[in-house]
Amino acid sequence: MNSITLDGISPKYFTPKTIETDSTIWNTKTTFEKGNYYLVIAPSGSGKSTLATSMLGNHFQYNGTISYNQTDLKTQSIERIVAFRKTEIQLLFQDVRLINDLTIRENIFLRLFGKKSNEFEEQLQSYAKTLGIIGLLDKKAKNCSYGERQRSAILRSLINPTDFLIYDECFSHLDLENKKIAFNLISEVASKNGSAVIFFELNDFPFSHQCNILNL
Amino acid sequence: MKNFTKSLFLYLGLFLAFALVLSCIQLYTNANFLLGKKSSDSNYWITMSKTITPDNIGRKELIGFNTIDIEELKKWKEVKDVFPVVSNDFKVSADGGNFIPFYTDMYLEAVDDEAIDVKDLNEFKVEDNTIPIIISREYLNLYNYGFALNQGLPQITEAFAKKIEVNINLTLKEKNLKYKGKLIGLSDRIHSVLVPKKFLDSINATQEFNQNHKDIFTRVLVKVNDANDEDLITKMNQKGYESNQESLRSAKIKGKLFLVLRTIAFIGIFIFLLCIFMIINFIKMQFLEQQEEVSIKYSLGYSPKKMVSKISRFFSINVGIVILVCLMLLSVAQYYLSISEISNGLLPKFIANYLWLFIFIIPTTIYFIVNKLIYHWLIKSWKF
Repeated sequence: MNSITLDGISPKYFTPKTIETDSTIWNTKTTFEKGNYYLVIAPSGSGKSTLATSMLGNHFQYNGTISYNQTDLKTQSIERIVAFRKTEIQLLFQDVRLINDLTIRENIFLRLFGKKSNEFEEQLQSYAKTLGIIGLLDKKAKNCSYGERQRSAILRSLINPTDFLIYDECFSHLDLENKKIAFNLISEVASKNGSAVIFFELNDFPFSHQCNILNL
Repeated sequence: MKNFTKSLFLYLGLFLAFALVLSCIQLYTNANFLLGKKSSDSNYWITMSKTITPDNIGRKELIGFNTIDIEELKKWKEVKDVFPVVSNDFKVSADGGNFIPFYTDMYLEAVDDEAIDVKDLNEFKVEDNTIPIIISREYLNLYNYGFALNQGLPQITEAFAKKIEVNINLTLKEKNLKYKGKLIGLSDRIHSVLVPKKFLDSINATQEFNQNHKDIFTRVLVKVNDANDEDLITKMNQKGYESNQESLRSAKIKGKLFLVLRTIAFIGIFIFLLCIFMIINFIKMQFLEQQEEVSIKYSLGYSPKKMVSKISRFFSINVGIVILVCLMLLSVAQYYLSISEISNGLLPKFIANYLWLFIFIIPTTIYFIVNKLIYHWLIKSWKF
């Protein structure tokens, strides 16, 4: 998938605080292209998660259209939309969404869809080392702290990366140092894979970056 | 499944429900084996007559079946066919001539050849002044075991009986006729002295009937599907018909037994409904246990259809295993029941074959229902 286009979209059941501002994505046409990095900044209550989940195709509670390349999402069946998530788009939810009864390793390998996990073990070890969660891999998700789970979920999103990687406030429970490390790892993997990255954040990153900044 | 121990009690409940329902079905089959089952192919013959009461005694027009009675009898759903028995309307006697010195008054009856249980009826025609006769095997037994031994007379085999010729004398209105009588067969079905119907009809036709007696038959031979049918007994009692068949008496016992069985079957249906209710709740519980996991996998890119069919398949296979275990235990129980004394050797050693089909039918049905139900719940419960 080469692009995601948002055309004149606005939430159906609530009015975002920022909808009247000039620089908003709401009610305009915005295209995210493969290979580019984006940072969408918006205050609480402006519809970041609503936009992120609707870009994933999880719901259609918006007016306007969201298209993958030229395909309008609303015309696709659930099965077809889900199929996009294997190689084309994925979202790291704000609430992380790890399965509590599985270990961190098992959670991460869910993204392999049954592919042989030992081929990815080396990669897993290296990413885990970078993120500082190597000691957690065999721990159950329910026994990890929120910050640890957030880093695990970031790792899960990178193990089998898709064309578009969307992160909804994924650094909220990380300190500055860890934020930087995670950001750099995401950028590194994305550039290797040619992926686009879209961050949804409350504020700009407190470190230098090359993302295109958009407002919501 | 990791939570299998949690589900253990539910599987145990399902096991008990299936065990009860399946054994109810097998019990019903067993009861049919013990008491004789209804099959549309089976034929039973009963001889029906009207009960003699002070009101109808001696009056042929009341004690016999008229054409209307016979037509009505034919309409009973239990009755396959009706054959009226024609009797002589003149005096008949027999003597042994010079060979065996005896004389007796007697009677003749006739019925359609179709109703006679003698295989070869080729000789059953009046030719050369000889009347072929078929008597009840009981009559020969009565003579051989009850009469001959006490009276110092020789016992007679069937083959020998067929060789004896007696004189039959018909005393008609205008003349007397003399025939030779020859036994051509023995009947187990009809307790009578039978001669060809055509012959008896032709002689009867020469006599002046009492108009009241025209087309009145004192006995009828009835072909039925099941001589143990309790509905048949009820109808016969209502109409005041009787039969000497022993089987009809046992039918009264059977009627009561089936009442008990129907009660059991009713309880079985109740349990089955309970079982369905349990299954649905069981599915809901399983689904709730896995809801979060399924929802997360969905957002990661797992096909909901495949996940749901995986859950349904897992559940159906487990139900199949539960049924298989039930049937295996039931088979063991059936085997020991069949060799026990209570069965009297009447019960089959194995359970009814069609019960094994449940291993496939129930899980397949459950698979499709569960698939639909869970998919519905899943789509409704997505965490967006």
